[in-house]
Amino acid sequence: MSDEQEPVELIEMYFRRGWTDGLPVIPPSEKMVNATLAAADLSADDVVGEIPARNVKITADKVAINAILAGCLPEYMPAVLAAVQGICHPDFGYHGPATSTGGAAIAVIVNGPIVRRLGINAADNAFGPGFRPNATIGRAVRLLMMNTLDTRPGRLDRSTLGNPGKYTLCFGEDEENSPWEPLHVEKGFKPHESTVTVFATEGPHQIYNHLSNDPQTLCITMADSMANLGSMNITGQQNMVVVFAGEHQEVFRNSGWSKAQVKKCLFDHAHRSTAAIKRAGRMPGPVSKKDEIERKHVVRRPDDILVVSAGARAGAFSACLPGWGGYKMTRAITTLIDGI
Amino acid sequence: MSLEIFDPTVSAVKEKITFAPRPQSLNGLRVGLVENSKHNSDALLLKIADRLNARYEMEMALLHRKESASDYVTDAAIDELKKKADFVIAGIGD
Repeated sequence: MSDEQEPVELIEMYFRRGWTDGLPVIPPSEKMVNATLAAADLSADDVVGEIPARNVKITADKVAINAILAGCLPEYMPAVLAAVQGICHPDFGYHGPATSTGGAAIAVIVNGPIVRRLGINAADNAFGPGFRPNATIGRAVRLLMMNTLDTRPGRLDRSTLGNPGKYTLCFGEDEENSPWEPLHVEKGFKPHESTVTVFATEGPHQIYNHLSNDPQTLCITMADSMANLGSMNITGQQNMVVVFAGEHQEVFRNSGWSKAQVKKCLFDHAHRSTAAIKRAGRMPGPVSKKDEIERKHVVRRPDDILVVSAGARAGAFSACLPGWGGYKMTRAITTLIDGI
Repeated sequence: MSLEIFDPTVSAVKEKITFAPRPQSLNGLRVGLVENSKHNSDALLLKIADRLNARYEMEMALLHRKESASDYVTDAAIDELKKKADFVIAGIGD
């Protein structure tokens, strides 16, 4: 075998062993594994996460190997590690979103100085493609789920439709241009700290409003998408992420609306009547007069909505990312990125 | 230059499971039910309990509802099931 053929042969070997997500991987070398472990100041056998229901402990060397397979540079390792710690948090309820027919993607939202340091994209094409840290950090999380937790299609991933976001879904918050405090500061972290938030989601639902300069009507537009009758949130009331991009951010900035006001307005408008939900067959039983009045909000309280700034300065588009399951099953987890 | 493969997988730790002794007879046993909180899982399990009652005079001792479909059965619930039931049927609705 010539040296020229070897990389291809190695890549094919990973395919044959079922260790990829369907795309080619970067074959790791010992030097790369060591550099990736060193970037997070870890030893190979350090246990970094555990899913008791699977009887599996994830060690640092496996995180490093999967991160390299995904195409990560060593310096991405602390962010990947924080994401792993997030999905292993008991309140994330890994087994549900990982296994469910609901087919959740794991959104990875990065905050703090690491966004700029690693070059994580938070501007145009925030949801991809084209940016290595976004593409590979999100991909590393999915490869880890597949390779270390047996979350493979047909095995412990029983998704009905799958989800393009299951390849990768990672973006930064555009903190510099945001009209509000960043997500991690809202969650109690310092502005100079960096965090990763993991969230089980259907994926982005884009909304369009090119005409409005009014914050309330923008919230009404978004709320309509948040409260569709096919959404799991309409009965589950779990977290929902709302991403406002540049032009819409400016509407809120110019109006002086705080993030709390935005969340309250979204909450107030993102609901359906019990009658409508029953008529759609999403709740059992006959429709009563009370059902016509009773409203079911897509989250239990305004703070269950995670409002994030990302996307281009131009374009009147934003998006909501509905959650998977229900509030008793999972919640978004924000984890400090250690040692940076 | 030799090909070097780095295994990215982790194997689950295998635990030995000890099965409870099988009952000598099904007649008159107390049955515990564990439902996963999804629609109709309770209806399905209660129907099974009805049939067991009709056939073996079993008593439906306890219906435990999990907090959510993804949750474990808690240790407290397992203790209660052990006290009140001779065997347990766990099922899902979806």
